Amino acid sequence: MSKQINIALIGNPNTGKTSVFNALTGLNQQVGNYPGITVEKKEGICKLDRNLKAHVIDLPGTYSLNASSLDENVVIELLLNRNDKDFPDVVVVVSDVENLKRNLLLFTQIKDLEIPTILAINMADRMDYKGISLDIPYLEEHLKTKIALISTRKKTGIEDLKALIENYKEMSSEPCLKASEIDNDYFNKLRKAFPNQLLYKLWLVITQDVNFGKTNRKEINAINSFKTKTKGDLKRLQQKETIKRYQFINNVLKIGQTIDVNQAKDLRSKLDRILTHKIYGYLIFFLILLVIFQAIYDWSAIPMEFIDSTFAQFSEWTKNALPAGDFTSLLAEGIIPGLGGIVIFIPQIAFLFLFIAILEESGYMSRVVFLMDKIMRRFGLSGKSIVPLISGTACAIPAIMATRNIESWKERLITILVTPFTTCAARLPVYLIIISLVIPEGSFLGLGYQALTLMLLYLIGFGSAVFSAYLLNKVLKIQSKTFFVVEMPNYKLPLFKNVALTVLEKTKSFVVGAGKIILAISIVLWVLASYGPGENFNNAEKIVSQKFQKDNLNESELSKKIASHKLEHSFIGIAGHAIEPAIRPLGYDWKIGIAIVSSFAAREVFVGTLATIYSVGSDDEETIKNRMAGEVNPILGGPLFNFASGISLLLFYAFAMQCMSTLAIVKRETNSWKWPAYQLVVMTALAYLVALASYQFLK
Amino acid sequence: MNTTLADLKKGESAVITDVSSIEIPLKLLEMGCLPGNNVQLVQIAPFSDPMYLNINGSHLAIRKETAIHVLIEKINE
Amino acid sequence: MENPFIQKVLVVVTLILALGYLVSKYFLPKKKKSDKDCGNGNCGC
Repeated sequence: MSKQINIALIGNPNTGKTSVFNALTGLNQQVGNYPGITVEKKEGICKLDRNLKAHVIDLPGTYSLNASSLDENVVIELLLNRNDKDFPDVVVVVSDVENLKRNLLLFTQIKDLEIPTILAINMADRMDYKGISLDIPYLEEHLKTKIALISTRKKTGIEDLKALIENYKEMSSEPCLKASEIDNDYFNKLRKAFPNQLLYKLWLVITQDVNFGKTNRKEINAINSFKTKTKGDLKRLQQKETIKRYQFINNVLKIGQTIDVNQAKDLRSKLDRILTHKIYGYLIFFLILLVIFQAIYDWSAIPMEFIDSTFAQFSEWTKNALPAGDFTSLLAEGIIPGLGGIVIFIPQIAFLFLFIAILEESGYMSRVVFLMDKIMRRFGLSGKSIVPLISGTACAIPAIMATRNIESWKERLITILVTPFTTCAARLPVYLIIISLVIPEGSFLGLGYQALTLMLLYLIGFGSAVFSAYLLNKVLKIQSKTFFVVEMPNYKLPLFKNVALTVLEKTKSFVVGAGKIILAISIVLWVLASYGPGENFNNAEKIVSQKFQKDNLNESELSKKIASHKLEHSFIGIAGHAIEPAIRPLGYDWKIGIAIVSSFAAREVFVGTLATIYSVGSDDEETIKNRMAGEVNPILGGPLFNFASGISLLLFYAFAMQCMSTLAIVKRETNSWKWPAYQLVVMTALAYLVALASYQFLK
Repeated sequence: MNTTLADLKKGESAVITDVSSIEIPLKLLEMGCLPGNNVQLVQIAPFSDPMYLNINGSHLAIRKETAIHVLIEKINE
Repeated sequence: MENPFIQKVLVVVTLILALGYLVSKYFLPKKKKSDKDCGNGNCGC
């Protein structure tokens, strides 16, 4: 029988912790959430030998056990709760050889919790380059641990790490310094009051709000009553503790580590000089964005056309191959086109995630944070808001979660509120299909009009986010302490495996998450479009053939007339006509109206809905785009999707808040329904007015 | 008048002397901003904020409003 | 094997599944998370 042990990977951000995780688990990993909160939980399985498997958790990156965000809190809650099913048998602290000193702070804190701890020193391949040498036996002795020198880049040392994990039972769980010496009186009293508890654990519970396991709730209350010191005093003690730990670390490293500064070559400062330059810095940033959008547009065109026609053929094939009937129609007209409406955007979404992953992995994102902070603050945002605003171009949900490291509550709230304006991947389907219908193909200075329009839409999204932040900053009266500390990591060439896994994971969860909703909605829509009440629907054949008796229509023309008559009198047709007065001034017909209403839950449903509505009852093998191009405006004549109505639709989607999941996340992150409700009302009203104005102006 | 981190000019180095102000976030100390450590101003962003520092090999950026609470002594070369 | 009745039943079953999924996704409350304190100055949540 094979045995399984628990391993937790802990470390500072930017130490390559996730690379170590990937190296240990390979594709044997999954990403979920911690119960009740939206912090990403990465876990995987690592085979150590025939009889021993390890369950590995990659915990969120943190600089210390003094949590200042929800993500960091996860680390402490796990380490303090021995009853947790994931409680580690052994902790692997991943550190980076160039920042060993800072990384060891976290290490000494974990040692104080008396959990067996291995120190994995990553990026060992850079030691020569940086002129660093380490006295491993000396460090192992004084840090009371075992050390594995690894390089995930050069793929060395992973086997050593595995061997250390295998022999975890031999690891010492003794603390390496006596942190309680900072205030002997206080800690002695604490020890007397709770003789059965670990002193450092008590200290962590006193200094921050953690609830370690529901079992000892009573005890926590007792500990909380022990808060005899004022907040200021506690903070001073925490400062003292940090200084004490660094003293210890400095003493150990004085002998255990030598750095030959003369040998250090410095690529970093050269790159920094250009990338954070007051002119070139911004120019480069802008160019990078430009390249990304051009690439998303150009590179994905071919796979997209392929997917589009494949789905059209598949739908046709289904219709012919299966026995005719209601369910076959549901498959061919409802489910398959609906699915096609989401699958088609996989190439673009994957490219977007790819670029974001590269910007994050390479260390460039921190430079942008640095460059943008002062400017963003004029709008009530933080430099750190740039990360949510950029990743908001993929999806607002992870973007809003990425605001957690913004220290000031006001800056964070404003960032959360304006992030849904940025052009998320779900808007892309709508934009792309409308742009391809109403914007001509030519080009200007090598950039296609269509790509330029898309870029403009991204700018509108970004601009309205920043502008509304400015207004919110004036309106919101929130006093909150601001502080801002950002690590500027080393530049790194992104590891292919890391980037590939991120892109795969994110794209998959986007497509699966959105796909389920789209599938369900397209089934419901198909039913609503295929059945109707009363005479007008049920006797459609008779009514239509009587009406056109004199016109001598051929078979196919007549069946088209019947189908459109049926659609008009189906449930969805009746509902669509009911809302038509509200949307007519924006240049839309009732079908677009239905698509807008059904995409309230999720924008990406729009194209799928139109695909479903247009394909009900039609016999031809047609792509979605061709069907839309063929639609005629019932009142004015001419194509329904013309320049005016197209622009009006684009602008409507640019501003409207059509994503239930985002609203849910905002509620969770702000702990109140008030903020998502504001977002919904304000953004939708704005969308309506802008679309109205633009259509009336361009008409 | 005490010299603070905010008085550093680009390229200048100093030794940190005092970080006991309650306005200084713990996170900054944890990242190595402690008395006795060397600090160098690597780069300053446009509009002279924030400041990109190298504190004993730890590279980080902080805002001026935090920097004014960190007391230093400049190193004359 | 063209059986209109079976086809209709399949449509109804699919519709119920789809509606069930949408309702459970958007209208039924998720499991309540623990009533955790959000730290000082709302910074934790």
